[in-house]
Amino acid sequence: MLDLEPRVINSIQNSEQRQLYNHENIFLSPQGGGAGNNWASGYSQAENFQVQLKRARIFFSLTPRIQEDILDMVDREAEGSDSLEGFVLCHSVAGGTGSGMGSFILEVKLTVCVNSRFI
Amino acid sequence: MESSGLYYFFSSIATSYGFIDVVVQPYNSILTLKRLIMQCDCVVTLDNTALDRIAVDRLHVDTPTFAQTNSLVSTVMAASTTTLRYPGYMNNDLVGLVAVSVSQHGVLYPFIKVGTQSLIPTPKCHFLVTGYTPFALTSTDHNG
Repeated sequence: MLDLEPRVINSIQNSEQRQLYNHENIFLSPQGGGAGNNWASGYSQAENFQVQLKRARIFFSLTPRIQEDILDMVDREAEGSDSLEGFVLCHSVAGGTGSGMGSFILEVKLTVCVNSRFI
Repeated sequence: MESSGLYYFFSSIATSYGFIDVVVQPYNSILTLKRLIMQCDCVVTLDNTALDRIAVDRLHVDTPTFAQTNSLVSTVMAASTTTLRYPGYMNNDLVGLVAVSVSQHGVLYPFIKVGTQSLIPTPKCHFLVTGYTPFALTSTDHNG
């Protein structure tokens, strides 16, 4: 579960269904400002996470990882499966986070993931 | 995808063209739809307005809550990804349906394609519309 603002995910984590979701697979933006119903904002924020994480890993490779990468979540789940047939990405198209960050993940992460792992 | 030939991206999306509360909503939608057309193998679209109309017309709920429409969405999504999530020998699974459309790319040779599970030639299906029956509200609406 990925979101750029903590409100909805916090309400899920405080509800009865909190045991349903793996807490390692929840990603929240460190800024927590949301994407403001703006596709470009969501897209660039998702892009920045990747750049920042890469830098952090190069320069501070000995320090413990502060934030799980989104790709690590996908990768971990993909490695745990016996026969991977596909990915289901569920997101909105009208808002900011779902459309912007969703399409970033769609076009960068998943294609990179599949191409690097299986070809 | 053409490159791998083994893995397919399904994407369920929710649109809300009925009540546009944000002016940039059409722009967001177009930018996302471009990626959905280019990058995915198959897209399952769900419309908020249509879900509300189903709840009002078919389930006779006056003002549908989010819990009620969410229960419709979860039912449909669970049913449509069942063949992905559980193993089986059925010949009507979603991957087989899309494998034909992925393998053709202009020329329709679904019979020659090895590993294609469906023998029925189908046109290139990219945006799938789901159907489900019988529809009934579960007890989830008490929670919301």
